[in-house]
Amino acid sequence: MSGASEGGGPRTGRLQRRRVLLVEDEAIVAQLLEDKLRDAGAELLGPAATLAEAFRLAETALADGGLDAVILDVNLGGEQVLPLADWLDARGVPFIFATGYGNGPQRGRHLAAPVMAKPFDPDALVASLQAVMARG
Amino acid sequence: MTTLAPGAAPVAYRRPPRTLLTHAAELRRLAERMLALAIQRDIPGQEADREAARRLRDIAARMAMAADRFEALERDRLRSNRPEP
Repeated sequence: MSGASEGGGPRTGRLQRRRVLLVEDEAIVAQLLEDKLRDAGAELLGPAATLAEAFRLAETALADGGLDAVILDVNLGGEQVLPLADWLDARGVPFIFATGYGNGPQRGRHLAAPVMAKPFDPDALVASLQAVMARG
Repeated sequence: MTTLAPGAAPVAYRRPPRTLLTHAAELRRLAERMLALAIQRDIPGQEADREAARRLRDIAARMAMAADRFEALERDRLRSNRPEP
């Protein structure tokens, strides 16, 4: 899509070689975030549009090479993403919520997890990912 | 022009109520149209067009995120039984 992610050349982005799983059910949003994450040098998994698909990708990634961070859309077509947040938390995988809800109760017990309130600047998401991975 | 029968009360036209969900649906429709335009302009080798396409995709995604926000607000409103804004 965008120039920096094409051609297979070396990447020099801020998320160089980091494996990031994107869980987002809105295709238009997922496309933009994919572009930004790839431009930042991330090795992108997903996007997963359902909870089941997200679980499958996360399990596969953890069994094969690990997972550096996850972006979680809180509401996946009516499905709440919290079970996956609990699962990631139990395995020490850092994550960020991306949500239209703001800082509401939809975060469950994960009150320390960063929240990107939609609509957000995708560059801010990359910065937040860097911060959450540095913390973890 | 309509002529009212003697004694009949005029009926004012009322636009259907616009809720956060109708706004969200309109935003999504617009976002999809912008994305379609972006795909048309994303022509390999024509960098100015590709840059325009990239900007259109960016705007479309922000509109889709705003639609998500509207829907979340509406779900919150329904959950807490607040009246429509």
